[in-house]
Amino acid sequence: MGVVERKQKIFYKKTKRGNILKVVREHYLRDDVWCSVAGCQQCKNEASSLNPVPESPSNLVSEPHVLVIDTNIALHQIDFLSHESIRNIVIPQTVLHEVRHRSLPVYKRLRDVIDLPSKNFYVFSNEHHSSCYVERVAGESSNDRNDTSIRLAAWWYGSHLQPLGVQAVLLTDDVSCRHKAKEMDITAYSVREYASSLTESPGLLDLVASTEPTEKDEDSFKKMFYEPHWSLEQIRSMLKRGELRQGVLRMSRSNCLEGSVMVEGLDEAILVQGRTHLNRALHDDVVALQLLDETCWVGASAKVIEREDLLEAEEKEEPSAGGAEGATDETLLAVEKQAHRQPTARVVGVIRRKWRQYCGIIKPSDIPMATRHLFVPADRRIPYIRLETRQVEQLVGKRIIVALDSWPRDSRNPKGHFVRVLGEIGDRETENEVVLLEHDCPHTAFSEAVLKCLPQMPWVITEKDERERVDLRHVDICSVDPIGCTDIDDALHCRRLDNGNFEVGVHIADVSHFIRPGTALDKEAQHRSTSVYLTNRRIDMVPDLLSSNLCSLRGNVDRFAFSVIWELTEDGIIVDHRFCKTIICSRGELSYEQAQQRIDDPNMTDSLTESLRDLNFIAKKLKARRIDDGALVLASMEVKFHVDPETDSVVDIVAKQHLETMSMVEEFMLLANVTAANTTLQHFPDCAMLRRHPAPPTSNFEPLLLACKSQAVELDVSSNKTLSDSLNKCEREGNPFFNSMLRIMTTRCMMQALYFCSGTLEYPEYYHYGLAMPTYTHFTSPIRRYADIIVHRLLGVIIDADTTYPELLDVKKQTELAQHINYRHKMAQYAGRASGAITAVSALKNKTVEYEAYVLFLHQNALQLLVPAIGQQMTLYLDYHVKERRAAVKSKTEELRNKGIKYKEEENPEPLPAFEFNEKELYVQCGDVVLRPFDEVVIQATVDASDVQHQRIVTKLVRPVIAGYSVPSIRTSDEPDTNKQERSKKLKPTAKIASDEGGPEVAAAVRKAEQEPKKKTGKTAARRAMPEEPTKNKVKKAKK
Amino acid sequence: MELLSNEGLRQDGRTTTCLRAMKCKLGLYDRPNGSAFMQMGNTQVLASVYGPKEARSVKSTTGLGECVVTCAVSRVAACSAERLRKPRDQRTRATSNLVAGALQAAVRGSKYAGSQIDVFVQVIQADGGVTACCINAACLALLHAGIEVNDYVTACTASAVPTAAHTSTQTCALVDACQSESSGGCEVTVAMLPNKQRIVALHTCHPLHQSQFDAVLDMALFGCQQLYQGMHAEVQNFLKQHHAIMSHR
Repeated sequence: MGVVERKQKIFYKKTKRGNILKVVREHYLRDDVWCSVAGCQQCKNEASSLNPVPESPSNLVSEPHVLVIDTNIALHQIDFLSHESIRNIVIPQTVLHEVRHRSLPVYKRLRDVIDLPSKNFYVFSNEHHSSCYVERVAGESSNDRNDTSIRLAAWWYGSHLQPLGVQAVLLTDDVSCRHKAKEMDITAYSVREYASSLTESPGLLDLVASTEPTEKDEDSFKKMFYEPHWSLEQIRSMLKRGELRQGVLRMSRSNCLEGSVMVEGLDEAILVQGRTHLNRALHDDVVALQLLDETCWVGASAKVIEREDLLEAEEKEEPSAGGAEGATDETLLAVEKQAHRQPTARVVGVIRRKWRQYCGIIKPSDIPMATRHLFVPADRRIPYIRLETRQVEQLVGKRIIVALDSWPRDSRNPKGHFVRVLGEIGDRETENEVVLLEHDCPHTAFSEAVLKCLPQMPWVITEKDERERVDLRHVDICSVDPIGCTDIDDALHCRRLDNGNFEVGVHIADVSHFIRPGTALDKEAQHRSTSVYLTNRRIDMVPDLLSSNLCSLRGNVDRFAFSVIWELTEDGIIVDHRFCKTIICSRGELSYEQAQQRIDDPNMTDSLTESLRDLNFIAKKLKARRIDDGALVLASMEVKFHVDPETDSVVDIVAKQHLETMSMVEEFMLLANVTAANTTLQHFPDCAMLRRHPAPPTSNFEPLLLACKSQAVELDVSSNKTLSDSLNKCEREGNPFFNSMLRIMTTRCMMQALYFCSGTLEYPEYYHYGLAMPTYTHFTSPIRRYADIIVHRLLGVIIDADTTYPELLDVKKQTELAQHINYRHKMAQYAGRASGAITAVSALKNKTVEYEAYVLFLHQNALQLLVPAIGQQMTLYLDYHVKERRAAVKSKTEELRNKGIKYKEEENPEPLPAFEFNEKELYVQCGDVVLRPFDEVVIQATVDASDVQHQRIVTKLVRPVIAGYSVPSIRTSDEPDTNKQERSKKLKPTAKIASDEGGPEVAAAVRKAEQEPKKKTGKTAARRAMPEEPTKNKVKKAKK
Repeated sequence: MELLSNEGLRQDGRTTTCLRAMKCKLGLYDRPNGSAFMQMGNTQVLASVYGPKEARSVKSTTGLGECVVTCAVSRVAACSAERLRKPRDQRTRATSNLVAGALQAAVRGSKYAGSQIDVFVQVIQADGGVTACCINAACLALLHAGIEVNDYVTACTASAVPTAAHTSTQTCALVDACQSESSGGCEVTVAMLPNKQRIVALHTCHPLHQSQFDAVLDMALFGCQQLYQGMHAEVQNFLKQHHAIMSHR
């Protein structure tokens, strides 16, 4: 038993340098690879994963059977394989290897399916089976060899299972492979054939991807929309010679016909414009580019093109047909002479597809009973997908998931197949699901294995714990957090020492005590990397028992903490610090407001309040020093949605208030993080998990500086210190929001802060630009960030409370982990923002509301506006009035035609005001009205519900008044003023240190920004009555 | 690449405790006093022994009343995928010292006081576990030369690789690692006296975490014992064929 034969695998490999290597590998064949079919007498199965159903569900194969699949089935039909009715599948090892080689995401999904015991999948190590091994014949391609070996595996199963009366069926979509299988006496079907034979699962056919090519003869007559892609070999050799460029295609969010690619060797991104030049490449694909002639170089399109426009254009164009394909694109892209020209290119091939599954809605065909429909992805950067389904009635009005199959040359849109329904459009849960899926946030319930790792309840502190930890239960510790926060991960204390100094302690939940490395719980937490906060739902990184109970530092219960304790002088200079594992008992869970009240109330003199005052006192010193070092004070729009949990409707939107206590807590968290960073770096110079924030390249500031110039303001962006100083100086009479707008714009110029492993970079690169700190890390929120857990473990080793494990000290693994966490963090942030936008839209439903807004960016045909009241960005189209008239004319024509009258166009339609866009000086002009960045406007926003499937916000200008364009205000005459005054007071954005919010986050350390979302979750209804009414009354009274 | 599949097989089809195909042969040449060939999978090594002879080197004359074992390992230029520039370099010198140290522990030095034994090892093919293979070959060559030893000295490698990513991050020890396994994990070479149960040389390439060390060491020791069985059988076979008892020629 065991190895029976030794073979050699010999092949040649080309290295990156171009050397050719001969590789010789041993290959052992065994006689102990079992079939794993239940009831087999010949094999010594330890556990049989295959268990063929006695009554065959298929009407093609009458006997009980197992299915053997080939590589293409695994690659393209993974949705079909994941369906619950598909069971008892043998996956030859050959297939698994090929899948792994060709597509890692599919491989991961396949592995997940294999691991489900209910699916009865079995990986058959055919390559090492003594009678299934196939040697490659001279001249045979490795693909052919693999196909032969898969067929041989199927044949072996067939003959091996004969005594049991079980059949083996080979599934393959390759016609010639089926043919060869017939010759070997193997039953073989295509997936479509087999799926349609399973009469009991009717929905199955929709899941089958259409990979079978259409008949060749037809091709020659069909109109081709796209150039063919070049062969990979050609692309490779041309890349090498530098005739082509390679890079990742990033589609523009505002223009669905424009993408940009950053390539090596060029400072500027290369533009790819228009459908023909994009040539079927999708967002995130790795593409090969051919640069266009310098005469074709253009500036990035200043227009906003949404897909609605495109569709309209297409509809219009369809009757005219003919070869005017490019025309639409060109009219839409309308290239002008621009001062700044970027290189442009066309896609000649796609090196790697990054296709995934897409959420979206179906746009049913106008023809009744049709099976072909269009699918509108939620992500704007993805084109419409053509879809075939027979159950369109059940899909209309639902959010669905669709997977991409192919994009043939003769199809304008890519082809895909339906995967599953998420739920009704507009339903909160469904919308959340969409947000989570689109942002790749793992959000399923915790598995059994994970829950098993949790400590037994009731949880008690043992004597051993008490021996190992410092007992701080006698110290007056309290936590200060947003209201309704259930995952409290930090608490503070402060004591005056005899020598006049202060002892300050920050106590962080000791999550690493509960999450041991290598356990299922650890792996799940690592996979999630962060908690995700949506407006009405929180997706925890660790199970609820830990996040809201055992790890949460709640009041008046004993909890484990990881503490850092400093001795600080009155000026906030650190005399000494130490880390230790402790047991604490918080004296109270204070909210920011409560803590503020305690500090402000002179009658309160208890020790807790006194310590809060001391903390506040030192925090101010710390902050002043930091700002002095050049830390940036940036702003972002943060609002809070008050959601009624019962009806799920938004009751109120309130700008976040800023309290002194917030910055107090923030300061000490920063201090704790910095101390942790320095300590870990000192002990683990190679594998400390740190966080850096690179200084933005000057080019990032260009749009900002241009905008500033148009407002005659100057900013010095040469360093963070000068930037911070010049930001402080900018004020504008009559525009109280001006400075905040400036800070918001500055935030958007920033780079992302990143986690990294200290061994991979040089010391100067550790610098944190936003916080002006040489080293920084995250230590203070281990309940909702995985990076903090790593830092805790490292610190645990340093203080001899914990031991290392291999991955912790492995620079390569740590780097991979850091990248994973960075990705999840970014996605979680986007998800949170997307959720906010959805909530804002739902708040506008059935309403027309007027808002003050500020111009953020200018485009040729649209303005990007920032609406502080709801913390959202909106687009104001400069040509909506033209469209409206066109629509009006159209409907009138139709109306008249219905009555039998021919509509005559009005002789002299009054001319519509047109906008003039000046890119150099950055303003839009219409008549005598000039709009520049930062200008205040008033807009009217409604939700366009004409299409139930696709709701969007429509904005119209109210002020400044432009005849023929702006719309009259809906406010009554005297109201606006009070409203405005009060708003400008209320909605002053929360200026704060280096916010983590906003596209370019600055410093995730800043806990306020990161913790704030917590209170959004659910529990807000109780206190929603707060701001609106009382303030209004006050203002009115004051007026009287 | 997964070094150990979920099905429990390594890339080449072995289980974790399975050694590569082992082959050895004594007595290849006439000129040296002893010679041997050793093959562990695709690692193949020739060893020849000259001596014991009068000690020449300065080191040996310092006189501890023991003989001195010197060793020189060289590699054939095409022994691994990438061609080598020099047959001897820093790395082979390090290997030589390690081999010499292991042999020194096996030879009954007091028997050959004031003399020196030269061992030359040629690596013909390298595919992981080169040092171990050199020690084994040299040991057989010593035996063939009839040099008195306390015990065999056998060496084997072991590696620690992560098991398939999604099942657990726990590592798993593999015996007798081939090249891809040792570069993807680590390579611990252990030489021992199998009957005396003594470790005489230990060498680690690539970082290995302390928590994995015991499992890897046990695995390597297990491998040494397995190799000993194979080598001993071959020696017995050799003696039988030559109707000889071991003695110095």
